[in-house]
Amino acid sequence: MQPILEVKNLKTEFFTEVGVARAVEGVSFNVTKGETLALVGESGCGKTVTALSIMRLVPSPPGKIVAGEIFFKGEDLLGLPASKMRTIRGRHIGMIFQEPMSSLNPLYTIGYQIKEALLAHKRAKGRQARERAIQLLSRVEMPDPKQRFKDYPHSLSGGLRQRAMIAQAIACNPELVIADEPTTALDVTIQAEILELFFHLKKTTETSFLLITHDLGVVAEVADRVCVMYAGRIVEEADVFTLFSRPRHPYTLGLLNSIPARRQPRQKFAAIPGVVPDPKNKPSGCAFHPRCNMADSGCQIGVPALIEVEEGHKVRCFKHKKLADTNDS
Amino acid sequence: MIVKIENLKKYFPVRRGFLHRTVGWIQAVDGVSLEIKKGSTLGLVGESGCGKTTLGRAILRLIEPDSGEIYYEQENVTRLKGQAIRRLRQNMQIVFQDPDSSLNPRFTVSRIVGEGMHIFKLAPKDEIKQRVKELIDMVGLPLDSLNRYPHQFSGGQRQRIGIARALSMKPSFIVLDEPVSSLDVSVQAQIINLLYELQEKICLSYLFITHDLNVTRQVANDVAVMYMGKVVEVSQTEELFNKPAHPYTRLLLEAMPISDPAKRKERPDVKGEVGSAFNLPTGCRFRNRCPLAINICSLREPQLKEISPGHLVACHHY
Repeated sequence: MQPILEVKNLKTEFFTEVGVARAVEGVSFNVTKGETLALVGESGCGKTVTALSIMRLVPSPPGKIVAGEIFFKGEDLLGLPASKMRTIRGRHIGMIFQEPMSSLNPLYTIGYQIKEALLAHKRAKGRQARERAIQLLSRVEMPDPKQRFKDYPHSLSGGLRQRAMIAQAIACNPELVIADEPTTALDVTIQAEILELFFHLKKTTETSFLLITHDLGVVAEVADRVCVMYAGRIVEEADVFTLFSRPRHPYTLGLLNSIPARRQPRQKFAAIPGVVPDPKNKPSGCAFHPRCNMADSGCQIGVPALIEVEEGHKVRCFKHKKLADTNDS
Repeated sequence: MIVKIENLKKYFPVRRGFLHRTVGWIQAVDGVSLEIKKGSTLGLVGESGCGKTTLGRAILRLIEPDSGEIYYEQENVTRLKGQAIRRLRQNMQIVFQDPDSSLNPRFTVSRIVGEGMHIFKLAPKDEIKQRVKELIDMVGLPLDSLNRYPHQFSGGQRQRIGIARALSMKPSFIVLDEPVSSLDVSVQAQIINLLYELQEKICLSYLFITHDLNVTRQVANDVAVMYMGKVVEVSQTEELFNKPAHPYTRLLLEAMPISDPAKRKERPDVKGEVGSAFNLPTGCRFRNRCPLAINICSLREPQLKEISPGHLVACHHY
């Protein structure tokens, strides 16, 4: 099937006073129609910059997309003039941010902000826009949508604010929704409701989702396919079932072991030691080697290639065979 | 028993209008009794707004409770004043949720960690320096951190600074207020491991406040579940996870993200969110969201009852 979004060898860098931060170093992936692709990794590994690059919202300067192509329905977004790009944002690609409080305008009612998206893209006019906005609010299961239409963001709880954001993002029926840590700031009960809502939207509208998160527990709930990112590169890609049952990269394994529900009660567990490297100063060779318990001298020199170990399952690790042997035995 | 609280209450007035008249009360903590055993961890679980942070702070008397008693090592500390409360604060410390807002951005790490010891004159200056170094090492930060500022660290490292600061007073009891909620799961694991290690090494007791039941299961010996200012269930941790009694506890357990895509399920219908603590429903506070609510639930407020040894629940169905 023709993918709706195709990212090819994307490189985004930030030129700062203290050096060049290579936030995204050659990332490629596809999202097909109706699919949910999860981009997983710790803070600072380049997930959000990848998403911002797709929307062409990387703050510039200091940021710049230095190489790569991003095809959305066959059209290269990076070559579009700014005015054309504006018609794509919101109309064809919706975005949900982590912090609803800082991405909703505190001075306007949520109803107005949803209406705004409809008016800007000429999807509705006047009274019709208002009705459509209320419809959207009820679609994201906002209790009492008529009343809430007139509310300001501060008077809503975190969960309801996130619903308003989702209503805004799906207002123009976009083909693709990019959700950047949509549930991270929420309570578990609210998180469950929001994930359920995503699931529902996916089933009813055939929208594709690019879900960005650090929590594989969330991925397990909603994703179809997963790309694990580390230090600006994709280190493993597989469908969600394969990734959870046969991880082939030590970093993926570490993330899996960090899922709270997989930890053993009252016991220390295998955490990934250390922290994500500074993108201005990445380790040589495989960027994960200082934190990897399988690394040897070879890992410090060469950068492993992303190779296909089985159909649709790609890994960037010299030791993937060894990991496969130790894990499956 | 290191800390014991009895029937603790804290109400906040709601003021409205030009004269700021009190029009009502928010019952943030409404008659909570708990015990924390020496060297063990009590997990305090609940959604945002259920009063768990207020309770944690009231135990340390960072917020003065309206009524109820707090005991520390059998001593009633509810009405201590002046020097006595200062002495107590050395023994009871707190680690805050958000390291960004709880570390002074203008202080270096060595000043943040050493400040308490200076104020309490716990040691001569050069000894304090030595002790700060030990603490930094103990929480797993590199020694060159000492002269750096909080913004130069990642979230997990900043949380380590907060832990080092709490440890500097050599406390025996620490309130951990959502210490890992703002962190990546991988970093959560590191911090939980650290807290666990410290507990074994220096026999600390924790009150671990969190909304994440998975984290609770990992760290706590006992768990108390809070809902709108009340404790609705208390139990030993594994018992709570295997035999949750209160419908609210079950709802929380069902909402936890699964760990395996093969076990995807239709989500239970979680009804609504925490109501307003200002307009409390009559009777049981949970009844509006409760799938099992019956007539009596709107009439009488259920009291905590022991249903098996050490397992208490406040629900009319028991």
